[in-house]
Amino acid sequence: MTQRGRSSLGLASTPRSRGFTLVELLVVIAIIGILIALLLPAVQAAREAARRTQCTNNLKQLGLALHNYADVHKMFPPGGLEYGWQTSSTLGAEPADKLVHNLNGLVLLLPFIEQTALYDRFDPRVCTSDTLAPSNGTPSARPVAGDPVASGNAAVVSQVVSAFHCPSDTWDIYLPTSGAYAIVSAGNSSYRGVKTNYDFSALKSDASRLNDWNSTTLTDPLARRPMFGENSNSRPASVLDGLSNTVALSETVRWLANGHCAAWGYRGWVMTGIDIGHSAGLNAWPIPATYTWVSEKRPIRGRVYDWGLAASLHPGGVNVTIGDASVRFISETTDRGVLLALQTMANKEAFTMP
Amino acid sequence: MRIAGMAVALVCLGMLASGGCTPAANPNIPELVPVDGTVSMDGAPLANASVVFIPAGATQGGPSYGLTDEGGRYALEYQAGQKGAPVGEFKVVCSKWIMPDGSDYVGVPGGPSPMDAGAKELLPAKYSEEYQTTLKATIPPGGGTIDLEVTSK
Repeated sequence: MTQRGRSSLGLASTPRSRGFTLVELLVVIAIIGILIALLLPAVQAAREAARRTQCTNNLKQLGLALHNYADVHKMFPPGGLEYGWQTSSTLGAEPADKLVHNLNGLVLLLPFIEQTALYDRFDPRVCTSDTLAPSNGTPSARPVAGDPVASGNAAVVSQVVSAFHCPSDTWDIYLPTSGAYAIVSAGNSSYRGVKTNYDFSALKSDASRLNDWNSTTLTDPLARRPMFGENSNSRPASVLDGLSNTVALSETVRWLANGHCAAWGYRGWVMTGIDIGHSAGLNAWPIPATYTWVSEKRPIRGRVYDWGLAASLHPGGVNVTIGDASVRFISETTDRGVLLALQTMANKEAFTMP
Repeated sequence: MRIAGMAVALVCLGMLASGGCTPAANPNIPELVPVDGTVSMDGAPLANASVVFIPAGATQGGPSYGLTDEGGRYALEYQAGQKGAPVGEFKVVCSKWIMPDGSDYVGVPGGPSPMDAGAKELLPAKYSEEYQTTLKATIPPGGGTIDLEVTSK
């Protein structure tokens, strides 16, 4: 065969009669295969970069909304108002004269992210969820402010607002329709709570009203304070560390091994805000050995082990909104001292922005 | 034959190139030393209690965890399947969940978490809350036994 090919090549005036051999075909296929193998990860990386850009944009819009709110109201919105579940404490008494509102402060930002139509249907005199007690706590002695269904607030906070969702996170966006995480704790399947990937910077602890921004249970409350928390009323001037050195909002993932992701509209059980200075760090995928109820103990990217922790599906870190409304990507290997300095608003740490 | 050789070489090169992209094993895990001990409440061994060693001060790394058996004994694990804890200073959080009827919460794989099962914290916040715990420990080089004493009040 080779003989005939060679002779025809030598004699014929046109090269038409020469085909290509199997080996040459294989080489071409191999080269194409290698090129595709090189290209595919690049395409995937480009798609993830696009999703990350959209996530960054969401956080930027919320950061600008915070400042527009502060211009109008002379202070930042609260991280949330009057939680019904923070009652299990033996340390701080509940304010008996206040009704339970269970409001997530993100609702107050709706007019500033082009969701005025939705905000106009919200009744601020009435609670957004009637959850009073955690599944494991003593029921709150305080009455709930009104009926979330009759007031129409349940219809508002069961809306899906895409500005609160990171496109890289593909986990379920809905919360249970009954119990301590629901809008109507007695159960109402017409109103499903919707999770948020973005939440205020706050402390995550559950049992001692530490989430209460005005709590005095901390040994050094002013030094340890983040910008937000239950009933917080920080102003731009009260951020003594400087708005450019303090985290205002962070992102998280919607899949948790313990508890549920927070709703954008209301505060149910363990919906605290995001604790970026927590000892677990950023993107805490490993499951503690003590979590005996978790059947798959291997770390899974996208499943954070506990509530109130900063996490994301963007490789290597987490997007956060800084107090000056800029958005930064914080690496998951950032030293905890730096994260604590970023979290506190008035502890006067000297550090370099990561 | 020369072309065939080149093809084989190219394929091998491709395999090498793609192999080079595989991420290495997790480099973020510090050197771990074995740590065990017992937890007792009011002098009696405490079963089904969890202990978390949280790095304090200049100690590097993440938290280590342990769960006590019937005799109140625990052994620390850094991450699932990795025995031990890093060396250094720690604050310790000790926690125990009980059901409303007073029995211990025991997690069943795939079952409800204590949050969802209706379990309550048994120990006071001075042991069970990260920001308020008074328990401290030092893990020496080489590891060792660290016994923890808590009170129900």
